[in-house]
Amino acid sequence: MLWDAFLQLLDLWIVAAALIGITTGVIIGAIPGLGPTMAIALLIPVTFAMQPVPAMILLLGVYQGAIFGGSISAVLLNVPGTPSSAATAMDGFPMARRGEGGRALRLALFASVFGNIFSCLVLMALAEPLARLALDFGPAEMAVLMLFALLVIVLFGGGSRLDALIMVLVGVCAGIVGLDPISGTPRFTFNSFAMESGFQLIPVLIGLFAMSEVFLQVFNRAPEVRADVMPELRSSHVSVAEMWRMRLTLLYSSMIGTFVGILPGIGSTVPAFMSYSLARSRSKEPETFGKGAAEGIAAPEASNNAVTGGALVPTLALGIPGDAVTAVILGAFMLHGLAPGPFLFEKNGLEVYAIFEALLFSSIPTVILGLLLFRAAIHVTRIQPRHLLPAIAILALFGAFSVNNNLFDVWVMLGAGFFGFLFRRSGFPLPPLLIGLILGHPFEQSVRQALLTSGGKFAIFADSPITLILLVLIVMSITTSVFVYFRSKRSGRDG
Amino acid sequence: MTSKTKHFQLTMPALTSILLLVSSLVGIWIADSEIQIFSFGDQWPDARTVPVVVLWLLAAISALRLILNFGEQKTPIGPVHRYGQVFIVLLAAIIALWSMPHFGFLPGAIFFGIVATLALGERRPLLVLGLPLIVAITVYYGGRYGIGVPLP
Amino acid sequence: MKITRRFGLALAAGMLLTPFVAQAADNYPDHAVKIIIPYGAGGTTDTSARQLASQTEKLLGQPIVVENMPGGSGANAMRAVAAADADGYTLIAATSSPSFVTPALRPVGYDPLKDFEPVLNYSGPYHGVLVKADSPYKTFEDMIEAAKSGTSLSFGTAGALGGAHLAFTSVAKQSGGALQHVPFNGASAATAAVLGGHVDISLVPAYRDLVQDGQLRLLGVLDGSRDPEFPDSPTLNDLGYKAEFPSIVGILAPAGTDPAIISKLETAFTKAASSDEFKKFMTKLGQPVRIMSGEALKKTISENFYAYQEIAKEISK
Repeated sequence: MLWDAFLQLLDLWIVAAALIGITTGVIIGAIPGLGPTMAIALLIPVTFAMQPVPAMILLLGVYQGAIFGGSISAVLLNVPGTPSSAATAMDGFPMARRGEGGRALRLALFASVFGNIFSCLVLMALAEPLARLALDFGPAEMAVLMLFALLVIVLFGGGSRLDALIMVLVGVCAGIVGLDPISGTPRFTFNSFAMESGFQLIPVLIGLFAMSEVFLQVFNRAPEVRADVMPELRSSHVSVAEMWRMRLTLLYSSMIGTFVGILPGIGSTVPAFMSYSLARSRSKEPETFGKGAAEGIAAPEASNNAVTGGALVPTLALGIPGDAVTAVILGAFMLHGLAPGPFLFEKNGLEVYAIFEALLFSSIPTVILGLLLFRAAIHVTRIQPRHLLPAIAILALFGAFSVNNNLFDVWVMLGAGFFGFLFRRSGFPLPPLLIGLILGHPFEQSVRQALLTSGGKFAIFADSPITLILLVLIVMSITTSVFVYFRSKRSGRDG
Repeated sequence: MTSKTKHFQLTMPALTSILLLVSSLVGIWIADSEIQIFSFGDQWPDARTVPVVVLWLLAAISALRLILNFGEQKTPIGPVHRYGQVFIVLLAAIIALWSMPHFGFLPGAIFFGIVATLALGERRPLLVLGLPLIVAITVYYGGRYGIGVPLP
Repeated sequence: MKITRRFGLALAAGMLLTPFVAQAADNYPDHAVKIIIPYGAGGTTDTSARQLASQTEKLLGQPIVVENMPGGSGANAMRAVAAADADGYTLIAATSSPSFVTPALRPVGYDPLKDFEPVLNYSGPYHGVLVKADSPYKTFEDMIEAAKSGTSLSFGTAGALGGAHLAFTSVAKQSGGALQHVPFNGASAATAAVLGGHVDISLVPAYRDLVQDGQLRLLGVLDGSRDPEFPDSPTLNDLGYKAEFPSIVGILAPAGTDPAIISKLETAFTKAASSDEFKKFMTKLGQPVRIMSGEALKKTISENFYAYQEIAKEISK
């Protein structure tokens, strides 16, 4: 079966489809605001005339490419192209600033490929049982898992925990605006219809990271950097040995990404930050994180790319998509006569395995394309900020608008930009705000759903083995961080 | 710890904490009127519970942040005229957005781009005018006809 | 002469029209027609409307541009189209919830009856009442009996205050059974919840494969008519309840559009929607083709709008 599927791939059209898909994805992903969902929706009509297998390879190539493309702008400009690459910017940008942009991009590329291959193998081997496992995650389990994720980001994300907590709460507060998830009543909308949709993630992201940079640079009025003092582009070589040293980080990050990807509704941003926090807390030199640590780039990249394979598990095995991107992919599969669901593997096994194998092998063109693209992209870091930032600002206006084709989102972006400026000036970390915004609404929804099904009894949060394991993890992470805090305080006094 | 006599200094983090404290208190204040509860027979917690709890938490922790970092000296607020420049850019963005429904995306984006370039310290006329023009036109036509985003 | 007659007609309809709009009927359409999709690109509503548009534009002789305006569960787009020029060049592919469910519950900024002129209905997925295959309830009556005898059953839907939620709340009232609503974020999440046993019942569309595979059991449908693929599953009306959630996907124009333009559009869209090509496309997408005239759609919308207002009043007591 696997061999027959492989033979299907030996076709010029399929290679062409993979190449076009990945390239389009990388480019669209790199533009702030345009993410995989839009890229795929854009290309679906193009695939109408194609055979099912090349069509799906094209679209899935776009999906993978877009997730990776977001990291290019995150590393080079400190402007994440997609929310999931915000974690990559934390160490990627400092490294690029040292003139090692090429190295940062290569680290990101190789880690992405690792994450992709890992999750793809999981998808091929375990789609059915893992989809069953995902179903065991009901509202109570999701609520406890999200609480754990929030805690990990606050405790191990680096910087002041108090500041991180404040930012998470600000994010949760921003997420409250809009319609209540359970009763559907408006909250803090000030009788405005536009506010009922709430603050969308992507406009807030663009505002916080891109627009605030414009304000910040206006404030600092960076003196013109002369060409000869610009950071020199340093060697971008990444050795196999270096990647090998990070094997455990890559493996854990990919596991987190794949696993969270399987669960509905969390997306790829949260696992990227969780992996970053894990890599930091496991590292022997956590103080290098945030200043251009190699593992700080590899961990979130492996993780957010691993989400793609994980998210396809319930989509294909049950016909239940976890988020907007996989919902669009589900529609595309159906249009090509490959209806996802319990019958997909029985009826269209050959095609599906061919598509999976293509996903695996697409790592080869991804690496080649990536390396070629970097040669050109890297020079972006040498453009003067005063020339680059106005262009980014105009792109930000466009990106925020394109989310819902709505000017309200552009206002949100602008507001987020100003607040981002204030927070960055004050030294408050922005990533926890993003996580709070992403998880606040679903967390509240899950808690209340769980209480509705249990008739208001809190026991439901300690009822199943899954919640018990998660609760133990929560207690463990709190005790570790308290322990580490006191130890570092004492050693600080001694030294 | 070098404990000299601590006196309060309005630093940037302190200012932001005060801002957050005040906004969360205002949020709690208006929560009752901004969140209506229809009794559809659903029990506690209702639509108001979580927002109020989160706002109280935010208020408490912002206050805690203020108290704990009382004598902190780092990141002063900075020169006022710099904020003036930031506000000019912000104002330009607001004007640009305001005008978009009437005059379209292009004029607004170009105007905003020019103000931002000037504020960033560029003075050469060719770059001040040319750069935003080229970028805005590329984005507009690329977005509208390339990927079908109906920009105003 | 012609203008004044039309003007009078428009005034009678309670709409203030500019005379120049009324002239346009004979050479309509002379430029591209725009259809607004109230949801994101790539979803089922979007994909099916794009297919319908590409088939209809050949019949109309002018291109049809499809634009997405997501947000507010479709209400944003409805509001924009309600305010658009009633010249037949701006249309909307509307679904049930922004056409008669949400407006019945809270102010949305448009009036679904007065602000729109229905052109036709062409689809609408059936919503089923589903339980897990190993659930003790073999029929709808079993389930209601259980809910009446003390055990509170939870039912998941795609979101708060959707049509499914209201229709089933009405069933609960009529039967006296204890049915607890649990809203999810979209139909997929509600389907996953019933598969995982986190809720007892789910009211969702797109259930065919999971039912045929024996993972879920279909106890009934919320629509006014039975799902042709599962003719044995009763509707709520068949079971003796005065409640239904008819699912519609139709084209609406802003009110005040020239009747001649509406009938031109209706003819063209109906021809495209009843073609074999469209049916084949929709079958692949797992969506039914359900054609209804503009008149009939208008009736469905207004009947249900009033019915839902009643239910909302009833349950908020």
